[in-house]
Amino acid sequence: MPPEPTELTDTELIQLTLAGQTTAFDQLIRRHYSRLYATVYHMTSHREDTIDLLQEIFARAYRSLDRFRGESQFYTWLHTIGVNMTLNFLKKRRRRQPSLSLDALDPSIENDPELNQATRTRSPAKEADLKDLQRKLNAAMQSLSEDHRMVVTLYDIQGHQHNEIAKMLGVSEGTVRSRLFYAHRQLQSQLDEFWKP
Amino acid sequence: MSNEPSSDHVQSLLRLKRYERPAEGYDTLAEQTVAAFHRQALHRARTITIWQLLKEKWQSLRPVTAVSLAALPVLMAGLIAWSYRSADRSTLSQTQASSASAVELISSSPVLTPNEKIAPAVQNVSEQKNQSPVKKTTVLPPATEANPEDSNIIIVR
Repeated sequence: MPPEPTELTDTELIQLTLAGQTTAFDQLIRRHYSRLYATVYHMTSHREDTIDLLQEIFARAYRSLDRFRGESQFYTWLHTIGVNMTLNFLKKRRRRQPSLSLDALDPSIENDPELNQATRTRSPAKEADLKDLQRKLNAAMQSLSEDHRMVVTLYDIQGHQHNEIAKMLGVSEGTVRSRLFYAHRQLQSQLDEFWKP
Repeated sequence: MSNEPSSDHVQSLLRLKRYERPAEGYDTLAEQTVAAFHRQALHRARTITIWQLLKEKWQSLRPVTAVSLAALPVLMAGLIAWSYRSADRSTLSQTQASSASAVELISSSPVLTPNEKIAPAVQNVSEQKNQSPVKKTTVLPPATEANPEDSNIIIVR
């Protein structure tokens, strides 16, 4: 009995896809969708743009799959395609005013100790505050340049390592650290009201 | 204690973004993307097929076209030569007609064999040719005293 697609590794699924089984690629999409969605969404802050971009990213990845050498993880390779396509998209979108469409917050946010610690000085209307914070946070993120926003997204939100980010963006680790430092400084100045009593 | 947020505060705050979830849910969106991927793959396959067909058609036509292009100067030269030849042919046909009449003339003319007698007229001519030239002179009567200038003088009035 052949193994279920969910039991196969990325490499096995890629080999099956290259052999002509497009259903194997469906599994790769399902497996990596959520993390890639998060990266693209945090860059665009726009739900519809994110969904459209993801369809394009996966289609591009499928067409380029025969060029995947396996030197890095499939996830890193896919993210590199996604990051570059998102940056190109944002450069085109810069002409029109970006409108924020906020995704719903996961209710489990209430149990996050670090976030509670960061926002403990806020008023008792926690839910309203969180929505307000979400809006301000997204607006502050959008005020960053695409390059700075990308390193914040990949490092602070997605939890990638500096060297991984450097590989995805095609820059040095020093550049990644420098961009992070500058981006944090800018976000601090924009979000300082959340620390005032 | 300063109220200024530190970089750590910012990083903690950014955790909020980890809790953002699309309203439709990842699973639904992933399925939508899978469906879109299949639509795009199908469209691409169709596009490739049409392109492939066009390419194959072009490749099948290309040798003919290439030969046609390569042969164009030859064809032009041939056409020019043909036009000249056809022009020559019309001239030639006239020439041939006159040639034919010449041939007819030749064929209708008597063919002489070495032993055959020459026609009398021709014979006279040849005889005349063989004769020494004779000067035909008119001898006028001798001049008289009354008309001393008559002798050997032609007076034109």
